[in-house]
Amino acid sequence: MIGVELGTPTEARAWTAVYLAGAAVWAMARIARRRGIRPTDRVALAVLRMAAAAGALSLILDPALLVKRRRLDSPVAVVVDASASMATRDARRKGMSRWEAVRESVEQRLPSLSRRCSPVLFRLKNHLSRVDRLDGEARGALSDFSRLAEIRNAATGVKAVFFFSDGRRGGGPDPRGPLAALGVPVFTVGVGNPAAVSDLAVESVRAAPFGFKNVEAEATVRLRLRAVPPGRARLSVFSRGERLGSRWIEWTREEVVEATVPFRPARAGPETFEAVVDPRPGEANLRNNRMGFSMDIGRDRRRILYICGHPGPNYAFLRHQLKTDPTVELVTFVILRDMDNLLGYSDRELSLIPFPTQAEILEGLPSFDAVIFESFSFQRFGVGPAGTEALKRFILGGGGFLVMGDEAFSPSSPYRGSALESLMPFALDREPSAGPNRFHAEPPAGPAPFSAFDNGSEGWNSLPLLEGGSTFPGALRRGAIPILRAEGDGPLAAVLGSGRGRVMGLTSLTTWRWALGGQEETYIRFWSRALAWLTGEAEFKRVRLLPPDGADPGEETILRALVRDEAGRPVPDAEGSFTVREADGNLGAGVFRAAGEGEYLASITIKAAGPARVEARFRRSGSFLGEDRIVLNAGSAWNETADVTPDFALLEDISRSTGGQFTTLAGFTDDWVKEALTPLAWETRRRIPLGDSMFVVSFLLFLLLGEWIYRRRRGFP
Amino acid sequence: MNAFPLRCRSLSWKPILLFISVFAVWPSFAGDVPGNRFVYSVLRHEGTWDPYGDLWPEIAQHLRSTTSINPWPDRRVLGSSDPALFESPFLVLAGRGAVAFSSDDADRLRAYLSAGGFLLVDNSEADPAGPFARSVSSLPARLFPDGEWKKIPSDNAVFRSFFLLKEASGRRKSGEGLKGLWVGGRLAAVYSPDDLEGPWVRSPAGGWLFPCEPGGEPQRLEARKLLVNIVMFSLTGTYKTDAVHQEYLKRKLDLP
Repeated sequence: MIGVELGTPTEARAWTAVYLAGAAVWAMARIARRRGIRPTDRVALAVLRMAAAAGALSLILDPALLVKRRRLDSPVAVVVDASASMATRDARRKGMSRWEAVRESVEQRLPSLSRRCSPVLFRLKNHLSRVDRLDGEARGALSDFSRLAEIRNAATGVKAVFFFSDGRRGGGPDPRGPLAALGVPVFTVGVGNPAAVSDLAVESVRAAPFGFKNVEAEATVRLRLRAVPPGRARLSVFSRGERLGSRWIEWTREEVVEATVPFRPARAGPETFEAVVDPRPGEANLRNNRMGFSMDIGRDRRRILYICGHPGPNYAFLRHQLKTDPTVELVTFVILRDMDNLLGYSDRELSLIPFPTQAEILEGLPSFDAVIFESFSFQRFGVGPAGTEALKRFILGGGGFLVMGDEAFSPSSPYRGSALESLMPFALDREPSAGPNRFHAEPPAGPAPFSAFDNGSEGWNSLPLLEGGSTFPGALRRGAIPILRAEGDGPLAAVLGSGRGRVMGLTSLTTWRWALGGQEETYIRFWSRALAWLTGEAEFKRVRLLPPDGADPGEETILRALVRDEAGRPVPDAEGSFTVREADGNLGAGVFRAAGEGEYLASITIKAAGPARVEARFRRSGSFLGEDRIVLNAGSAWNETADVTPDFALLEDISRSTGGQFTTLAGFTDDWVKEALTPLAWETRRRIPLGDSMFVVSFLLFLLLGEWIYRRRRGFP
Repeated sequence: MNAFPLRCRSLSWKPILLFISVFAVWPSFAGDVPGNRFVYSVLRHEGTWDPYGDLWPEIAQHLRSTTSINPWPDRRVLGSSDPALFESPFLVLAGRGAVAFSSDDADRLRAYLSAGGFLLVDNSEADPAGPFARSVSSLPARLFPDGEWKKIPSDNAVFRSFFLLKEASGRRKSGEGLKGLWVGGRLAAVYSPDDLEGPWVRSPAGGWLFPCEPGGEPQRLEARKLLVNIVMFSLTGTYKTDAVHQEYLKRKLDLP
């Protein structure tokens, strides 16, 4: 096919054209006024002069001859918006989402497109990605239309773009500039029902940053109603799929409803929750019926099980301390009567109750944070191998275990040969060493996770003497850390981390002498810290994840973890890994790298806005060391599903500014495609500028010469 | 009847027997310390502080045979200025005649009770108007600004720490019941006006020296139970008011 192209004249050429036009008009006027010229001569001269003038004028416009050929394989980008608003179910067929409708329509038109071009499929979510098929779901958190300009990098030689979207743009710059710079027409296809969609949306959730396990908390939820008839719906708070609380809300014609939902957190630690409003009939967008939020849930109280083999001052003082500690819920049993006690009393006269069975103890075990056995011959009271195995699992799973009494750490210990032996801080197969029966307690030589005193050794000298059975455990188990020792002699107390849990052994049952002897503060401090260590309070965690200042979706965030051993010393050679569960349910994982001094770093990129739960685990020499978890709130100023009403005005603007066209999905027909692609179906093979052609210039001169010859032959001046 | 074989009589067995019995009765002679065992400590004062002599072996034997308490075989006698006061969690102030405390004595007793010590005040006169009763009635006020003896209710843990008791009695039964002094929310001292030690005293013949009035032997039994309860209470505190016990106790108390 041959075509003509005209250029844009410069200013000089434009003025030249004006002069030539003026000269042509003058020449035509002369002919018209000349007398004695026959009409045929007048017409001939006028035609010759007009042709010459027209030819000269056209040269000013830099004309060119185009030799074109038909091309049916020009690359054309077909981009479908896959952001979350495209999941709205208001498409042409009932129940069909916008995304599904586009996918169906594109698949129907693909043969037609393929006859006229070479379509290249793209999906636009948080970023632009080239795809072979339009599968998956519309879940993107952002609608950054400016990313369409990345087409030039993804596919070379694209001649046009077909862009299917509902026009809900958010999370990026104004796309019109970048798209205009793309240099190709963008044909936009509007998807969705531009009339207001009926939508009940969770607009915001407010809750306190902290709460307590099993203690009622509140979430204040703000709902936005669009075209929702009067009615009622249930508003709930969920965590890990479990409904924790709910209430019914009613409305008439309000556009905004705010309600407070009470709920009880079921687990301690950083937790994510969801406020969910049940969908209304006919609601097109269900994505915005829920919104996540996070809270740091503390334990209301630490549950301690304390079993004592026989009453004594140690039980009296320690029980009193635990009972008066508001952070402790104490369940305790003390054996008041031995099997061999002779009783001449009826059961009615005694206040004794049956000791819990092993089954009852094991059933309640998971609910405790720590277990204390003081001089307790557990085998005599029905705690057999199954019981000790269960206790071992309890400890390895994160529980604390305190064993008191020197008989527990001798070769005749009831723990020897049991499942618990390997968890004891003292080796039970060693003969005990002899020592004094009255002694000062001293701190150990090296670091310990906790102590009776925060610093300095002067306080130790003022402590009342302790008493014991003149023997001390033979040896510490490997990995155990001493907490107390007898002055100049053997260990009194030691701790050992086991799996996720902790075990403490204390041989002397006379720390009460510190309290009675005027050092009550020391006594309270020692046992408070021991309890905090046993129950794994934050200050004693072997692994601590430090939350970053903030996290932006799509941006790299650095995670920091501090790793310490039982004695609180930095661990330089641990291996750490982490998992991430994002707000949209996607899972990610990675590893930490050592940064020195027990600090570890990892790079993480969260894609979805909202709360993301991060869990980190560390191992050392193949053994579990510790773990921690936090919730990161990946922020975004754009809520993709807050308002899903289509915005076709933007789409029309884009097509207009790029030389394309706009239509709705219903108008995306074969004829429309053909009309859009026809200009693209021809490729210019060759361009011949006429102004540079000697043939054209010669023709113009021939016209002028011909006019002169005609006048001379006719005798006109 | 001579329990030992004839041939042994020629040996000097008495010193050996004495040596062995000393060790058997008094293990601390070998260097043992009470440690966590219950020690019955008696406070010496200017009145008749030891009206019945050493009753402790009798009481200890009963504790040992009836409960799981492992009592130290010897009682401890100490004065209010004795440093061992602050090593003795259970203290008995008993006797006849007026009891006088200096201000230093009061300071030390105050510190003792505040630090977790337990005091049993036992009126060996069993006379609510007698000199002992009159002298100890003001003891709480001397020790603490708002200190006073208050009646211990029958549902207090003292009455159910081992035996289930509905009322208090001793050698006498005045009807005044037990009185207590609470320190920092803890029942730190118990006063019995009815002589709790008297029912334990044996005559040289082995019987009981003092009758218990007006209830006789049943009253003696209840009084002995009460002392066991007080000792057990000093070692277990409010244990018997924990929720886990209530259903059982209610069932037993409701029985006719």
